[in-house]
Amino acid sequence: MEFYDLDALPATHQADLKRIRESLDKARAGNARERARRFESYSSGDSAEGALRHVEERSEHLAEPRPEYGHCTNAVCIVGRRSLTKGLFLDRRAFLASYDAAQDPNDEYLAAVLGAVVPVCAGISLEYYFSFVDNDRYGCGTKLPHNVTALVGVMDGHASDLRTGLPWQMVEIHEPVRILFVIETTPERLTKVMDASAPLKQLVENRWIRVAAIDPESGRVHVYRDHGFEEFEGPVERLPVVLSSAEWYGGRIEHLGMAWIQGASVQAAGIPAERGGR
Amino acid sequence: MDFTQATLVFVVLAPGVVFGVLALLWLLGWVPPERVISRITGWMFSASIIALLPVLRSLAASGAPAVTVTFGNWFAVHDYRFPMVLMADRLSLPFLGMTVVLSGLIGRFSVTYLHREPGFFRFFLLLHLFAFGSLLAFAAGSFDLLVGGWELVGITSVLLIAFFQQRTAPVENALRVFGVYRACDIGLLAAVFAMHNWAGTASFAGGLPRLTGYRATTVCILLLLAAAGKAAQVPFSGWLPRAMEGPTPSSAIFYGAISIHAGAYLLLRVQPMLVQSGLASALVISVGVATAVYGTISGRVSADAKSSLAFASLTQVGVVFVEIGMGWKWVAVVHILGHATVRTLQFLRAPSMLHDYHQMHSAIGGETSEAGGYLEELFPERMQLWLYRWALDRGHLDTILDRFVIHPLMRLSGFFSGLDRMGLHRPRRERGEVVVPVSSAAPRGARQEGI
Repeated sequence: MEFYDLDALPATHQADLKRIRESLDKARAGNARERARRFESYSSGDSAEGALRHVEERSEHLAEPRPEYGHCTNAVCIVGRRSLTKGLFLDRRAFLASYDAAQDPNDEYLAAVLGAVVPVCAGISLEYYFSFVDNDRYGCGTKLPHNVTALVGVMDGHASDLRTGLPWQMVEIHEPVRILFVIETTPERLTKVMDASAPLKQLVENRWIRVAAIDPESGRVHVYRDHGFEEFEGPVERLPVVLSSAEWYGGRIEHLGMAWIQGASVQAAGIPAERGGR
Repeated sequence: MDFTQATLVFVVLAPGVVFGVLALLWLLGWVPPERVISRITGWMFSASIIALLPVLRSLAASGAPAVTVTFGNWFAVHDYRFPMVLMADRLSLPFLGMTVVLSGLIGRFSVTYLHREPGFFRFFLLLHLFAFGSLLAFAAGSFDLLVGGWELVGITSVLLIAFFQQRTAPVENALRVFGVYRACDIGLLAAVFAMHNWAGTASFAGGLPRLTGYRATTVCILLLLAAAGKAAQVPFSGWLPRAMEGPTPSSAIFYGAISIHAGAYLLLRVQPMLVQSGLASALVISVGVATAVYGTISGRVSADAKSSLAFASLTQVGVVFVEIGMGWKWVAVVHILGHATVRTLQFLRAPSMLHDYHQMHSAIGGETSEAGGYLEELFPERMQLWLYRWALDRGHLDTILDRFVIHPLMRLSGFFSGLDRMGLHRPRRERGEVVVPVSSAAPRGARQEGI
């Protein structure tokens, strides 16, 4: 991690910088460890620092066709207060966007946030979806024979059409599901925003994406089905409770369900376990 | 057999034994996991590199011309003997060293590059067979044995081009390369026959077969045909860009480093005979010049990374041929070693080219300036356009081969096939048997299941 203009930092704040650096290093090492667990070539015995080195090394390695898995496996986007997901282990499968309905009485910010978040996340998710379901046609096949052409794209081997979509190495562990947006607001307010935006409405009505609203007051969930919101009913699974995320994912390479990390604050409102994670 | 000889035998045989054992295990139904293959490959090539050191020391210290290991004759028929002689002299040692070092490097690189690839095992099987083939070709003490290594290099090259066998393009292109190889190998075989016929031997351990005059010229020209095919010299150059269908590391080791220089090695081998023949030398130089010019012009219009690297390789190998034709043997050897190393690295970097360019552009704060424009301006404008079209179609070399070699051959074989049908089927028809037309004799399903 690189910091700019450090010479402009007054001496009084050197201690703060040191503290920030330490926190950031700790965070990125923890993050690296969660990312590294999905790689077959990573031995899970490594420490967080070992995982960081592994992740950094593979991002630069000439022979590495999987520098990272990127947004692969992403299945959900949660738009709401961050307290909503605090302490929740999401297995790096969620897009998180901050939004507080209490500060947005006229739903202006909601429209703005959704206008940016929905097309972007839906686009990413669909690209992974289609590249996975038919990798030869919608994806660009295996990376290994790729041939960079005119510095704009790749061909397969000596001569082919320019390939579009994602290579197999990027999507191989993906689960092709339509992305679920969980938005922290009431169904009425969400309907109003959706009705006002044609692109948003098209994405939802034509079922490119799925949408649910979680009430900021009551925590009740409404799911959009067949032109309207219906209250989500069904068994609410109890989340497994663990002391730390490392305890939950340690030594495992497969998809993991959500878990409640006890070490974190548990004041946040919960969402049912069936949502999001699998 | 002393220690030095034993190490030489080890270097040559080790990849062959690894190939044999792995292939046998595979036939018995066991595909070793990636980790096992990567360990074996790493240990084997490391051991081979170390095992070459005694050979190097022996040549450097004793001043002996070569380390030679004789296994007697494989077989003998009348006057013909097939001697099994391995030999490392000052010419083959650089090639042996290059092969073990670069194969080891490529092996290590491919462990990461082909991780989780369904053909992982197949790739390494072929890599070992290729290493064995090229070591055999470079360490052979006679042209008879060299043919064996030469053919192994050819077949592994073809099988790796067709590595992604579920698509049609790689298989088609591999078949074309196979055709060119086989056609040009006739040169090598005919040269071996000629040497046996005129000199009674094709062994070069202890000196080349003594041939002079038109005989030397004939043998050199036949070997030039073989060398030009393997090194993709004009007029066979069309296959080289087509060979870029396989995984990047195999393109690197075959067409950046070893296979592409095998032709040059062959000519270096007969260099003492070559200098006696003005005609053959002139031919080698002409082929080299033509290829160098062709390679640089076609390379300039190639938009894709691997084709431009292939043409860049061609240009350098063309220059190497010129050096050999001029009699500058050691210049050629140094040129080959340098070229092989640099080109391998360039091939391995080719997939990260976009990344490299981004870094370069951000480092210099803008785009790089266009290079080579001054060369184009040497030509008048109409000539430039013509040259561009000519280069874009790769000198029409493939079209010329198609029209004047392949199509006439196909027509000829069609003619003979017709004769065959007339001669063979008529009596049966007269006997009242049902005749199956040749074209439909192979069931359609067989074609689809094939390969």
